[in-house]
Amino acid sequence: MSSEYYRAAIHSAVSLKDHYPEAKITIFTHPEFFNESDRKFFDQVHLDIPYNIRAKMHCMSRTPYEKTLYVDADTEIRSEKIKDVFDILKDNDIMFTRIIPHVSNTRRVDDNNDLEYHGGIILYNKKPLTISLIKDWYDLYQYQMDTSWASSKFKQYDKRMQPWDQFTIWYLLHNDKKYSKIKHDFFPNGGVEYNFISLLELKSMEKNIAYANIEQIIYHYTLPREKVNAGRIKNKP
Amino acid sequence: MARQIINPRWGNSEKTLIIAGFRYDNGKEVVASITNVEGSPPNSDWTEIMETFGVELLDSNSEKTLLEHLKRKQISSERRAIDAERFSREALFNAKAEIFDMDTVKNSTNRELKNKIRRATTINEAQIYAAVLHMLEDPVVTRTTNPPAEPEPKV
Repeated sequence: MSSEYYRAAIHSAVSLKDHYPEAKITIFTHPEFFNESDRKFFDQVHLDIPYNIRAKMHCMSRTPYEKTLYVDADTEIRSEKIKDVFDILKDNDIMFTRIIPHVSNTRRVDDNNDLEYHGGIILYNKKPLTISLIKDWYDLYQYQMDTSWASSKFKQYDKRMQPWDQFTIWYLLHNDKKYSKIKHDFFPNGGVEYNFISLLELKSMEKNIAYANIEQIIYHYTLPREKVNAGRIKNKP
Repeated sequence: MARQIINPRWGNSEKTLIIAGFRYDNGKEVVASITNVEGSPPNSDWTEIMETFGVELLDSNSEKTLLEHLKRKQISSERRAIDAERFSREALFNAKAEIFDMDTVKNSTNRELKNKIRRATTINEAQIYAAVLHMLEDPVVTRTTNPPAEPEPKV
């Protein structure tokens, strides 16, 4: 929804091709951002996407590939090991990296559950059930945002869950019988090397010592605060 | 007006000053310094605190308050250090983003140099590699540094 993320996506695609020239890249973006001269960085460009803060799930469900790695735009590929990422999936349907509490917000669903799946890097297959899960993820998220929490099906959970799409996928995977057969898991070792959050580099954070020697396959930064809303599309239907 | 005394503790190491909160019935809260003035009658608040709380509780409150203060100070200092480092990282990120926005860099196939820019840990380092990449890619620079060979002299 903001042009800075589009710019970041170009940067990410270029970095991927630099490390894995055979990689197939599909970008989903808005026509307002797309520049024809950027087409060479992608194998497929899709411009007909909803104006929605979580259009990502809608786009993920339209993947042209049998196996897909969804990657947030604000990322940079830093290692040739990215070539092996699809081997990780094995017989799982969908895999996530683990939220690292000291660099991401920790979120309690209720007394017994935390949100642990990070939404920034997601590996998944194109089986009908997986695609159905992702479509429902998008639809249920709209319901989650549009319904009063107290009268919603989520009322037993912490109200602070409302803005988080990680909660929606958690709910579907743990409560919806339709998806009881979906095989979902974390990347090996939580996938920190595939979703190396830039804050983990800060030497002034004591807990980062444990991450000092991790190989960065995908580096996940945060756009500077002043840039996050740059070129934002507003009030589209 | 009735009031409640909150967390009385010593205000100095000589224990001649007490700091305490006063919460009044109307919800108003103030923090007051209480001391005795030589030659004057004893301060009634001081007397009340001594009778109600006693020296031991003041000692314990003082220690707790000091520890909390030190902890707050440490957290604040850590936060400042993190913010400073984060700020400097953001500046580095912005510099690299600008470098990668240049067509010469974005379209370059020199992966090795592009990776050196990506992994640069200072703005200067990123700029140096960007300059090297430009020298190798820019046809104007290439023409200047590698002039066409002189024609072979005729024999």
